Amino acid sequence: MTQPVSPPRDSTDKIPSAGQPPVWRGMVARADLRTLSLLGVLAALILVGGITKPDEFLDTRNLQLVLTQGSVIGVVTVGMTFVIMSGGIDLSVGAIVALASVWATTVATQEYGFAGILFTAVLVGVGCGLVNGLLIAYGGMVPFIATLAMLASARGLALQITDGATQIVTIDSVLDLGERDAYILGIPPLVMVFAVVTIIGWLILNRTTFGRRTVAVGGNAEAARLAGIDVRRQRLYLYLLSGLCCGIAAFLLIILSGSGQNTNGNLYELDAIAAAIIGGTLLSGGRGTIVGSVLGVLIFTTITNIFALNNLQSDVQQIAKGAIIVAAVLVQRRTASTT
Amino acid sequence: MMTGRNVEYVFPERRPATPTDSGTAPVLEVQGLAREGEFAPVDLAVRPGEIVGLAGLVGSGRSEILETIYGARKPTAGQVVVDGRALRPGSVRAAVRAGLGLAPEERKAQALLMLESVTRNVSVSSMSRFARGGWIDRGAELGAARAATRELSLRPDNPSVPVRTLSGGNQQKAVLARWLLRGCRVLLLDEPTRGVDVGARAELYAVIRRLADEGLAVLLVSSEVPEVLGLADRVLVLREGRVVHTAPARELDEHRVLDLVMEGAPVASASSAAGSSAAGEGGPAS
Repeated sequence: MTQPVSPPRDSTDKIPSAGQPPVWRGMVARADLRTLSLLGVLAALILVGGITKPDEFLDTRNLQLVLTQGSVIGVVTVGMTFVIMSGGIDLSVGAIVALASVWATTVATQEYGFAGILFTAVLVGVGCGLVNGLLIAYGGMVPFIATLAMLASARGLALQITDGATQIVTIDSVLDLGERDAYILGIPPLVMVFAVVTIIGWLILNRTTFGRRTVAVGGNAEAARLAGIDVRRQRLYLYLLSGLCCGIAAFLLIILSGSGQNTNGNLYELDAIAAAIIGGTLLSGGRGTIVGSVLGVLIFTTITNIFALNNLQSDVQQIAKGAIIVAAVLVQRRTASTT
Repeated sequence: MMTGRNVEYVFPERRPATPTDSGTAPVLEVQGLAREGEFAPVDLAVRPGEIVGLAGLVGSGRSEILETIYGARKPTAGQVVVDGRALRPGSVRAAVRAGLGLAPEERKAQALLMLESVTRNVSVSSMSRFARGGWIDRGAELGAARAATRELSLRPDNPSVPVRTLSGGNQQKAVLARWLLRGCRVLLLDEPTRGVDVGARAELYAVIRRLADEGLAVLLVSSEVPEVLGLADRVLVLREGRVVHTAPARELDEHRVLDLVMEGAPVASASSAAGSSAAGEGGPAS
């Protein structure tokens, strides 16, 4: 028997033919160049931290602290990455976190215990996301304006609920999650939540039709529409997703701080957008990675930690963050023009 | 070709008896479809295996008609009927579900996801077929995209390459492969050879004719009169948003069509029509 000249389809799918490079090499060449450079920056930061404050920085407790602090903003950033990849923006994330955290910690809500707090935080987040999504997808509002309006009103509502007071959480089962006893193999539960959200986010973006539609809408909304994708419904879902992430983040913040405050989540929108941008998400949409965004978050949190350990004031931190954003965008532009 | 004829206009042979003559029921029927200020009520029918061409000057409403049939623009009157069932007006999704596919005029702005691979561009309209509960079977997707692009002999024969690296003709084939994979029954082609080099045009013509021979109904719009006459079985000539003549392509020649599209157009109204339509055609449909 002679072999057929053209290989059957099955074999070409699994075994790369001679003409094309193996899949892994292509992946390293494209997406992973950026991931590797982000990992390099993170490694350099860890080195800096290790050299300037060898005892404090590399202490297990400090590393746990860095990761815990990164978890809250990290969960928000995962949602933000989806929104930005679709060509949108969500400026209201910080305000939604604040509103969700205070609504979930009112005396009335706390009567329902752990589940009441969790449920309320998530529901408020999703509810705000729903309003954002409806205004943008079906109301035809520009994302920037619609979420700016949500930023203002959600913060206002949060202040109205608390009247400026800090609402202390009295539910032990919630507070316990922030204690060292709750750590599993040295990993705080908050960090685990962040990890799970990251993994689910990665899977949704890279392995599901939802992720494909997100990328298509961000890459070329008109082409997506003419290809038969329901662009408006997809946009609605994306702001719902961002709201959901804010709700989860609010719950993490309640655990972390043991309270709800209307000043919670201040400037989270900037941190989340910056982390996504540094991670390689194109602000115009269509391109970005969850891994990049998460590395962006870790880089920012590590910088904050190193600066704090070295007693540098937050003004210096802010300036450094700004410089990093500028550098990242410049690098992004260069790589964009060469590819 | 051998005799030194212009390669640009080498068209595949039509079948001797076009479906127009036979009693086959049309798959696409457009009944009194109109958009105020863009085009007057138009009636047309396309049968399986038939290529119907819309000829006319830029601004005569050709693209507008095509996009309105597809639901990308909302008609002010009339309806689109596919297989005897009226489509929800102004809904692209309804049109796609009913089996329509559009290869739009501005390939890069309206059809392609330039940052994505050929596979993802081809599969974008039939994603759910390779997904279970939203989870994509990427092996099946790649295999289907490969089969569809091979059928159109898209080059390079590797659907994993970014679509932006393809030539204009192959990018157009990627758009066609999208609808081929979707299994669409009516193909709406708006300027299918724009930005396609001369050699690849003949190949695209052959592909379009073959798709029609395999039973697709094709509605073709082109600024190039020879292209419409050479490829289509039947031609509707448009002037200022109005169908002024309908005839089998073999009964028309370029001069006759040009006479028809220019005929009796007073200078003033011609320029105003061109002005308003330029605004309509300039931006992508929103």
